[in-house]
Amino acid sequence: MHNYDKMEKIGEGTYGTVFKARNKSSGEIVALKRVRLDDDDEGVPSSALREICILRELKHRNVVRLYDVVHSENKLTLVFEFCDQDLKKFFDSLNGYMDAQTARSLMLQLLRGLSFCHSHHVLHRDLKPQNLLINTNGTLKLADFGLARAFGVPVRCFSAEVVTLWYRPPDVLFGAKLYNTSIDMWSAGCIFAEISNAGRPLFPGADVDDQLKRIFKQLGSPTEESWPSISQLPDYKPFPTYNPTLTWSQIVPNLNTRGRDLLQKLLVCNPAGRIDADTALRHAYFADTSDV
Amino acid sequence: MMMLRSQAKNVDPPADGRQHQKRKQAEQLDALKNPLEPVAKKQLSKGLTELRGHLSGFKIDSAKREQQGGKKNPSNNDDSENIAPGKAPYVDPCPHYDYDQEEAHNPDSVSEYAPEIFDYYKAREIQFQVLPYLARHPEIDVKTRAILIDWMVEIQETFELNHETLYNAVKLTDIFLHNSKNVDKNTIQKLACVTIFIAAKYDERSPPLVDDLIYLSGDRFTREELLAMERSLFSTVGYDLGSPLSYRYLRRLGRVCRVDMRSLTMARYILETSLMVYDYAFISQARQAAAAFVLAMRMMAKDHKYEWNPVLEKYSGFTGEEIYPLVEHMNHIMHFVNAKWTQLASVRQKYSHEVFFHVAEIPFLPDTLKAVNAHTYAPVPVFSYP
Repeated sequence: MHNYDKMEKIGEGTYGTVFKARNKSSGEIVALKRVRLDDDDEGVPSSALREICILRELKHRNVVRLYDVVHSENKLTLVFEFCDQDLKKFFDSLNGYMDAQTARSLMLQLLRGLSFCHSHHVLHRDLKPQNLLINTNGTLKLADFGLARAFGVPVRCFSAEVVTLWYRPPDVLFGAKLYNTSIDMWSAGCIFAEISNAGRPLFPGADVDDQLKRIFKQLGSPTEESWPSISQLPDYKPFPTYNPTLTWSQIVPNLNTRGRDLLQKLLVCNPAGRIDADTALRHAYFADTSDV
Repeated sequence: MMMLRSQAKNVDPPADGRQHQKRKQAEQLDALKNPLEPVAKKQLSKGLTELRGHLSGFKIDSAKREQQGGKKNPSNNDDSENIAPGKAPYVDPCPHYDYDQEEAHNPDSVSEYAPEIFDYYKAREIQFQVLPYLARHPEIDVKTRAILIDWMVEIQETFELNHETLYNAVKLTDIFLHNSKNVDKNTIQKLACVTIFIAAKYDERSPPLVDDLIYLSGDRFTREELLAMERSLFSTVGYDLGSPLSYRYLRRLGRVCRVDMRSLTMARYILETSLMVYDYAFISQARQAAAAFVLAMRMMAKDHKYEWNPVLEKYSGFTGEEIYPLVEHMNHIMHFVNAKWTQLASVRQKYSHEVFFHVAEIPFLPDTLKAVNAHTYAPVPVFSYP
């Protein structure tokens, strides 16, 4: 890694430390993700291996670009394009107000990136504001594919220990191991609400139970009728019927009717009923410019 | 603690479990180093070259085939950086049947994306094309490679790995050999371990541990050597490990044709047997899957008849004429491997098990091709790629 001048540490990924660095010859600013490899380890960790493979494959404006990989005996370095900030930091700079046009642009880019991943056999499985990068041009990029994986058709059972709690869909919260692209669509819904509220998380649960309770208080508790075979899920337990205290226009006051409609199509408890990224991109919300 | 499938199911219990297993694995590796029936390599390649020359007029033109269009695509045009789809108009060979629409209610079928994903696989195959490489590896011949694959099948069973992992590991082994030279017999064992290791890390929830892999290889190399081989594989093959696999195409065909598990298992037996055939490493994964499928369907049919049909054409993108010559050759391979490579029995034994419906006991169709000699199967027809 003699080609780069390391500048400052920018964060910790799912695995490994991320630094800002400058390419000595071109002057280009990049992000370096460093993974230490020990002799008593299992070689390249599978999280790093998957992130590298997946990003080698996915080249899209809304997916962070992996330029290079440097593999030595005791260190693996991933060279990424540099982005100025992530969506979380962007929220912090907003002082509580997000304009409708920016919100729509961010959501559009998130869905484009997701549609690209899903049609190229990849699930992200850890969508959250910290993992969405934004560069100086306002381009949003899906990043941190450390929990991502390629899926086959039909899908197999995967790990249920995925997605950060606040963005985890109810089926996975109930221990579902058989899931598909809908897992990311739930996270996208949570992020959509958070974007429109300039960074206030939609369902900030304290633990799995609290998380489910918050979701069902807003969306109503699912039943065998609304979600056939829900009771078969490994960690299923029935929840009481809550009376929703807030309307959608109270929860996401900055979203117009069409935006609220899209949000409700993303936040469907039964994964089979959740909208997919391609259909979401065709939603009227993205055609509507009356509030611009 | 690992367990062999045979141990788990209490079939064919080994005398003393792990020790027996280790000895068996070590014997396999010795066989790899000193294969029985060594093939005179020069002779083999000469024979094949000559016969290929005779058959050169046999080349099948499938360049006119267009990429399957399927449904497409909303406001997103940003994937132009990846693969540009074919522009010619696509005519649906089976417009009245849409498997994915019928399965839209079924979450595991990923109906929204299935057609796109299979188009994507097919478009990507060319990036993983392997060309004949044995000439650059004097210590490796067709039989040595077959012994290696047989051993990899056993490792896959021992660790109860997914079949995708096995197929991916075989593909990675071929890509590595395609991009290297003078790999010796010691290295090829390490290579097989590393490709299984990497393919498992890519796809499995609990990949095997380095120490277990070394143990099963009869402690022939150290962990440092194995990890160095892992680095060597990445620097030779690169990091794009998600190559399209024949196993996935085959499952797709089984699903869209709605065949029973026994028939699909028969096709898997054929496809897995053909992993051992060096010359098949140059044939596209999609084509191999289609041929194995047709052969299995013929073997399972009462009158042994099964013809190419619009559903297969729609979901494989091939015509029958593009597949039939390979069907005939795969049938020949089943005869050849069973008669001539009798000691390479891992695949056959696996598919003799009741879990696999004993499909290995089902009689083959008559062999219409002639082996070149006792060590060499009939020459493989030349196909376009993919």
